[in-house]
Amino acid sequence: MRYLQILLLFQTLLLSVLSISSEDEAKIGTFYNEDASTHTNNWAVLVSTSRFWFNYRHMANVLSMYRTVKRLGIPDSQIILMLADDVACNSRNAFPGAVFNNADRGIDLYGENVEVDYRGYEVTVENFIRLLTDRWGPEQPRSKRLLTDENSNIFIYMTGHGGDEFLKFQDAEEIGSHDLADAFEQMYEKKRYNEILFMIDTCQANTMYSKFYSPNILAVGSSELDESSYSHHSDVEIGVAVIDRFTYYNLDFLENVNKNSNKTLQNLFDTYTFENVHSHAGIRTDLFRRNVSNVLLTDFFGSVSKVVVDGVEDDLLSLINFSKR
Amino acid sequence: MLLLSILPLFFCSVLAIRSDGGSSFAEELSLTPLPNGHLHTNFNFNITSSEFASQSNSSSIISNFNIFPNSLINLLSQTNTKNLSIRFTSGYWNSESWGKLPHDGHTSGGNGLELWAKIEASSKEEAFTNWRFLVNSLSGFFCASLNFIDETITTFPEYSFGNTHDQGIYLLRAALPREPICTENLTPIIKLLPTKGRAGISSLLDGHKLFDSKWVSTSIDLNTIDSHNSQEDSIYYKLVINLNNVFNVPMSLSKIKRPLPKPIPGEELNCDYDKFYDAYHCFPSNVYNEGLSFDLDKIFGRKLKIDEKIGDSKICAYVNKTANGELIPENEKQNWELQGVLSSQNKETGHLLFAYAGLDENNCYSIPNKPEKREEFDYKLELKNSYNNIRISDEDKPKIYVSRSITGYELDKGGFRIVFKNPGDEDIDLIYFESLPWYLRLYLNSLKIVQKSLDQQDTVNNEEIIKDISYVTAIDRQRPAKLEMVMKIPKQSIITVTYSFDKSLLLYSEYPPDANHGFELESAVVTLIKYQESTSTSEPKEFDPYYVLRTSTLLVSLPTPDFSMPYNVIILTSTIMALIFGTVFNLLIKRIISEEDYEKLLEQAPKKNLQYFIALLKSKVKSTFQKSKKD
Repeated sequence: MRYLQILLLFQTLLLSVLSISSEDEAKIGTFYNEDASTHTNNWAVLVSTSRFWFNYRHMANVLSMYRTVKRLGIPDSQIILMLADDVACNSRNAFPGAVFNNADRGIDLYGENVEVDYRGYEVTVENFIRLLTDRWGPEQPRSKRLLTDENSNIFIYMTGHGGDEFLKFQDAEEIGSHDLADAFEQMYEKKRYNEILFMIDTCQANTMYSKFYSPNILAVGSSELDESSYSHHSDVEIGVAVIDRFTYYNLDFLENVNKNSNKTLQNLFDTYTFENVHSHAGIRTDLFRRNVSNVLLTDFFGSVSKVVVDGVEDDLLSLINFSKR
Repeated sequence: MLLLSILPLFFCSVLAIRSDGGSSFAEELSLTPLPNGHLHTNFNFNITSSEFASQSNSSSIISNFNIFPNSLINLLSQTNTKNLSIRFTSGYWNSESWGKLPHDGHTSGGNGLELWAKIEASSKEEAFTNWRFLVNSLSGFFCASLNFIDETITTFPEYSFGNTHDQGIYLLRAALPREPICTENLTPIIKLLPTKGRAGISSLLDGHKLFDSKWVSTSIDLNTIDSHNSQEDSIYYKLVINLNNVFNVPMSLSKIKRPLPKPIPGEELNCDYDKFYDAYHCFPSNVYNEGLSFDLDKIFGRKLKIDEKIGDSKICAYVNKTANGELIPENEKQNWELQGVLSSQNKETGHLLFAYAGLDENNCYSIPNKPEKREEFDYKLELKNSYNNIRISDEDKPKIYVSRSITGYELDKGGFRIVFKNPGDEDIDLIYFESLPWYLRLYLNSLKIVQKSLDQQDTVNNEEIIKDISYVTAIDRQRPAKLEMVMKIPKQSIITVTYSFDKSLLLYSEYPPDANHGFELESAVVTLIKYQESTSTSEPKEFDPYYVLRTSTLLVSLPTPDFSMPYNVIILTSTIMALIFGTVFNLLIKRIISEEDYEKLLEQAPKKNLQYFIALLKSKVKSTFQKSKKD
């Protein structure tokens, strides 16, 4: 008899919990429109941290991503491009003003219209953290700032030489995984993003995102701990490797994506096989709210043109007139 | 002396828009052949804003512009900047064989990036604050690391850069000699133009070709001009952009066929049969002997586009006046021929030759206006005569040659050696300007001047070489050294100025990532001046600058530490400390005994068999139990 009472009590409790959760779900469903993104603007931060000519492929990696996000609609004003060295007009470059990511030299990544926001010695850990957290002196121009808000989806791509929980900048200093995690937390607290897609192509890349703890971050890395990331192929005329494997297969997929594509991140992640990348690419989804198989690629790589109007005052015009008076 | 004069040909396009209250836009492309197959090209863009009252607020100013880039105007008005000059340069102008710099050097800069501005302010500090704001904004604007311009490299020139010494106007100047110049610097410049690179001569601007040249120099000059015509106190802005390039024409043409410099295949070799020749030997014949003919789009990589927006566009070409103002004789004009070919959209009809008469009496070349359709134009430039005939006339030779080099090989000290060579028959007055980073500690007392004649004979001159010196010493991490010397270089002489400096050690974090590359020093600026003839004998005398040249940049290596040294030191010292500790520890607590003693002791000791260990375990367990009971 006593046991039955407890059982009943338990049952009612369970039911009530279930009913609440289903109610909540319904609310969320209407609010988020079936796992669709709620962002209203897109930004991209693309960083190549390596100096020197033999790191040509890192510049090519980043410029390939620059080309992709620009092609999918993010304007130059919303792309922060950081290049630690000048390879396009480097005197070693047999093709002045051009950077290629493939030995067939089909696409000139530098093109005719490129805006590099941070270049050369400007690409430092300090500047990168300042950029993410938007902590600048008053003289910092707007074009060199990440002017995001709580509705921004940010695509952050980094490439360079990395190790266990660090990434080298300019062959001189390092950014640690804790630094990056704290910067993201600061961004979250300052409501500087809606969602972040963090992609990194370095050796032991997956260690870089292991310390993240802020919500709504999806992280992708090219290789796990104690594993190298490899370059894809070299161009004998340029004389160096031109692209890394992980980025190559990302692009291989992204080149077939257009602005109206319905391809999801899961489709992209499915191409990260060991046969392709030659290392174990990592995907961290535990901080991310949505299911990656429902997240459109264009949520991060493209630019949204959706406008959300909220809390509009009824008699807006009279309000203006009132303030004028 | 056979002076086959230079054959400069100016091919200019003047596109004028004059519709909205005085604002105007004009552009001009001039082409000048240089010796040894080189070609100097100059794109010149002139944009003038409409006049407006100087006291009007910025919003009304902006609404007045539709040709003038108002983004720059905002910047100027925010920082109280009156004049702004930016120079992007890379490469080398060979004045020995190419003669004077274009525009008498007023539009070229030292290698890297150079910037100077006149800022209106109540104090030097306020001017500097505005300057910092200006350079930071410009760094975002022109995709260059201008934000590295801080107090450690900014100077206040006294005589150079057209300092007018006006009350409340400060002239600030800085240079970044290490700055690469590339497509991302060109993109914002094109965006300043009303044609945006889509029509007119700016449609020829392609980074791939422009940065594949011997010398690139881009200048941007923005001036605020007081208009005196109207009763009101009104001003207008004038923006002049110049893009100078020197192409090696045969090399540019061969790059189209072979993008990479590979050996020419045997069957394509053009041998000089006057010289020894067989299956294994071939002296290539001089390509310039045959004259050159090329399409402009082979040089610039693009065809000229004409848009209806430009309306009454007029493209003209004229043979340049030589420096003394005379036109080139008619017979020599024939050496150049310019054809305009309209690329027809219809492939069946092919190219339509629409005009061929060559040059009109104004040495201009006009293209009929085609407002109904956007068309592409193709220009053919033909040098009929031998390119070898191109010589630099005496008029076009620079009056002075200046070179600067570093002496000494020590890591802690060094010296400068500046050589002024005046081959002419007149004395030359000039201003030598140099700004050096604080980590080079100058000894001005070591300054020595040696005068020699052109054939290196020592000469004695009673006249002073250096008339005046303006020297600002450097302060570590706060201010660069600035040296300005007003000099007179006697005719037919070589003046060598030397002085020495010490190199200082930087702090660990002050070294750049590639410190072993060395530190680039900005070029020195030499301004040739003519004193104004004035009745009053007051000092200082007024002067007019008539030619500006710059020395090449210098690379100085500072004592650079081994950056992994701290880690090595830590590892090494820890190892040594561990060894010492271990030894001392052993010595202190262990007793050294002989082998016999040891064996004796071993016999005395209880045998460590299984029973012994069981007994030991039992006693341990017992003791712990007893302890816990007590608790």
